Amino acid sequence: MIKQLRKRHFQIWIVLLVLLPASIVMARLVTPKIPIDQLLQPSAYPAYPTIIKTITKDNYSVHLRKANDSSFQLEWINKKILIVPSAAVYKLPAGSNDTKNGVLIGRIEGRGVYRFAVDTSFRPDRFSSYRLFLYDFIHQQVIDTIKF
Amino acid sequence: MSASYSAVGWNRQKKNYDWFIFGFCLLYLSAFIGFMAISNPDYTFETALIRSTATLALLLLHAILCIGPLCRLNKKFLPLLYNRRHLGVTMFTIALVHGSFSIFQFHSLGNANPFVSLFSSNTQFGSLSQFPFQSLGFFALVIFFLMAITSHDFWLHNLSPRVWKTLHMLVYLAYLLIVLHVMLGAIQYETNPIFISILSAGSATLIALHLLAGSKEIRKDNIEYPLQKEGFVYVCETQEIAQNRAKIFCLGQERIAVYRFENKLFAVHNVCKHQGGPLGEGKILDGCITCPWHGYQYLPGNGQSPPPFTEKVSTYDVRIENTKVWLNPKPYAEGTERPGAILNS
Amino acid sequence: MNTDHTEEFYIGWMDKAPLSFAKHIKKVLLAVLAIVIAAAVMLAVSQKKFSTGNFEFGTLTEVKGFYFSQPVPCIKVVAGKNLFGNNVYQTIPLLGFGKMGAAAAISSIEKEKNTSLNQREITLKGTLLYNDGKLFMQVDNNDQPLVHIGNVAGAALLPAQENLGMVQLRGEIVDPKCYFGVMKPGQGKPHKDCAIRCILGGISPVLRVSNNAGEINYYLIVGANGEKMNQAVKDFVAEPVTINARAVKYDDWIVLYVNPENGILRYSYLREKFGASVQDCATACIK
Repeated sequence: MIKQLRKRHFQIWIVLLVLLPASIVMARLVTPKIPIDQLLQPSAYPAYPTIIKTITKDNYSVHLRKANDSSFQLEWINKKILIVPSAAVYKLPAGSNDTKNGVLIGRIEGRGVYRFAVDTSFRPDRFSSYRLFLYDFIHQQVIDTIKF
Repeated sequence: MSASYSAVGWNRQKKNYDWFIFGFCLLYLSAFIGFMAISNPDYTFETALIRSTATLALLLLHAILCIGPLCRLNKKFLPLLYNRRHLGVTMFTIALVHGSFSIFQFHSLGNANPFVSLFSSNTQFGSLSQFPFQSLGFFALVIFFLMAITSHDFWLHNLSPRVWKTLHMLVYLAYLLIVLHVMLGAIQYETNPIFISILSAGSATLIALHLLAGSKEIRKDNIEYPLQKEGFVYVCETQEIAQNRAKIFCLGQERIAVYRFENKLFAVHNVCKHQGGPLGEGKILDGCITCPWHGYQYLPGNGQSPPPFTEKVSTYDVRIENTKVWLNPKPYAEGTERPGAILNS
Repeated sequence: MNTDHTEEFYIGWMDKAPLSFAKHIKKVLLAVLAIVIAAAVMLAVSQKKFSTGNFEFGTLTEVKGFYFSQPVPCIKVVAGKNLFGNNVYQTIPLLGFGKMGAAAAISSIEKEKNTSLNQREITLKGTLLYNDGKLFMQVDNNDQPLVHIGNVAGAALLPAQENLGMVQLRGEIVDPKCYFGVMKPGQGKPHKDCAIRCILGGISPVLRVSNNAGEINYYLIVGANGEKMNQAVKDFVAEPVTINARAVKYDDWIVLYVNPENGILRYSYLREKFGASVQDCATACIK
C-alpha cells in the first residue's frame, strides 16, 4: 500500500472509531417502546358471584356461574390467541354433533373474559345432557368440545 | 499478471477457497433457517430468507474487512487475502438476494413502482428512530455492486489504479451505511441485546484490527536514518538481509525494498504494480522478486516483470561500504537497469 | 525492520500452500466456522416470536353475509341467533389484492352488476386472513369473487352503533393485511415501509393497543366524519402514537373517528409522565 493510501486508511478508521459507536449508541437510545394502555374490549358483564363448575384447558378456562336469584352465567376466559377465523360457543345435546341442533351462546374473539347469560338448562343436574362446542362457523369446523 | 483477459484464472487454491465459501454459506443459511423454524414455528420462509441472507452478508463483510489488517499483523493470513475478491463478490450476491427480495416483499404489488416506493413510502428523513433505513441499505448495495463488477484486473487497469482504489475504498462508507441500516431498521424492533452485542463486537474488532495494523505501519514509517553521504543514506548492515529476501526502508515519500540475490543487493520500489502489495515482504523465486499478495513477479536488476508481462517498478542505487548498506532514495524511471551492489564474500 | 526469514513463503498460484500457512489457516477457519455457526444459532433463536396470523394463500372460501361500505368495506356474517334471539355475527373487513384496498374490486363488481352492493346480502369468494379473533378477507377480481347477490338487509341486521365517547389510546398504527397474516412481522420499524404502502393503497389503518397482560385490541381508524384517513396517518405508521378520537362501537369493531389535524400525536414518554410543558422544554433544548 502506498504511503498516501496508508494515511487515508488511518484517517478513515479514526473517523469510523467515532461514528460507529456513536451510531450504535444513538440508535439504541432512540429505539421506541410501544406503550401499553387499557383496552375497551371485551367489555364483559359483571361476574355472577358463585362458581358452580370449572373446566380448565391450555387455551381457555370455562366457569359456570350462578347468581343469588339462581340465574346462570357462562364465563369464558380466553387465555391464548385464537388461530381460527371465527369461534362461537354452542350448547348441543349430548350425542349430537350438528350445530343446527344446538343453541348459540355467543362469540369469542381476542384474549380476555367473556360472560354470557344462560338459561336454567345449564343447571348442574342437567350437565350430562349437554356439551359445549367451540365452533368455527366460517370454516364450519368444531374447534373443541367441553363437557361439564 | 494476465497478458490477456480471462474471467478467472483458476488454480487449485482458488478452487479450494471458493468451495469453502460455498459450503460455508450453505451451512450458515441452513443452520439459520433450520433453527429459526424450530424456535419460531410460526415463521414465514420469506422472512427467514430475508434475515438469513442479511446476517450472512453482514458476517461476510466483517470477515472481508478483517483480512487486510490481519495480513499486516500476521503473514500467515495471506492465503485468505489471495482470493478475497471472490469473497467480496459472494457477499454482494448474498446481499443482492436480500435486497431484491426485501424490495419485492415490502414494495411490490402496491400502488407505486417498487423503486419509487422505496424512497417515497417512509419519508421521515428528519427523524432518527423513524429514519428510512431501507434507503441506507440500498445505497450500500449500489456500492457493493460497483465493487463487485469491477473486481477484476481488467478494471484495475482500465479505470486506472487510483480510480479503482478510490472506488473500492467506498467499502468503508458502505460498512457505515450497513451498520446504520441495521441499527435503524431491524434493531429498532428486535430488542434482544444479542443483536446489538454481536454487531458491536464486529465493529469493535474491525476498529481494533485496523488501528493496530495502522499503528504498526506508522511505527515503521517513523524510523529515522540520520546518517547521510553524497545523496546516500545508511540503512542497515549487510548481514541483516537474508538470501533471496529483503528489508524495507521508508525514506522520503515511499518505502524501498533492498533484496539480496546472487551475492548482490538490489533496490526496488516496495509497492507492487498490481494492487500495491509489499514487494519487500516477498521472496526471490526463479530469479524474480515475487509479491506475497498475488504472486506478481519482477526482475531484481531492472524492476521489470519477466516477458510476456509488462509491469515495471522503479529501481534505486545501492552501495556497500565494508558491511554498511547505503541506499539512494532518488528513484530511477520504472524498469531502469541498475547494476546492484556486490557483497564482499 | 525485519522481514520473515522462514523458508516457507506463500504464493496463491502454487498448487499447495506451505505447511505452516496451511495449518494456521485450517485452525483459523475451524475457529471462524464454530463462532459463526454459534452466531447463526444465537441470532436465529433470539428473534421475537412471530404472530400466529394465518393468510390462507391459495385457498378461496365462500362467505355469505351483508355488505356494508361504511365505516370500511366489510361483510357481516351472521352465525345465528343466541338464547335471547339476538343475532351473533362477525364483521369481516374486506381488502384488495396485494397492497390495495377492496374499493376497486367492489366498485368493479357494482359496475358489472349495475347495482350497489351496500346493505345487500351477498356471497363472496375470497382469501381469509385472521389472527387473535379478527378476520379479514382478500377480494380479488381475478378470483371472480361475487357468487350471489341477495336481498337488502332488514333493519335488525344493520350495524348496531354505540357511542363510547371521547377516548385517548396509545398504541401502534398497523396495516391489517400484513399484520393479521400476510407478513411476519407485520408491525414495527422493519415493516414500516410496507405498512405505509398498504395503507396508501387503500387498506384501512388499524390501531393496535396492548395492555399489561399482553392482551390486544384493534380499532379501525377513520376521519372525524368517517372519511378515509389513509394519507393522514402515513407519517405515524409503525411507531408509538397517542390517538384522541371519538370511539363508536360498530357491531363487533370499535371505530375511532379521529380529527386528522390533531387527533394523532407521536407518543412521548416525557409528555405522558411529566406533562406537555416538560416535553416542549426538552424538545427546545435538543433543537
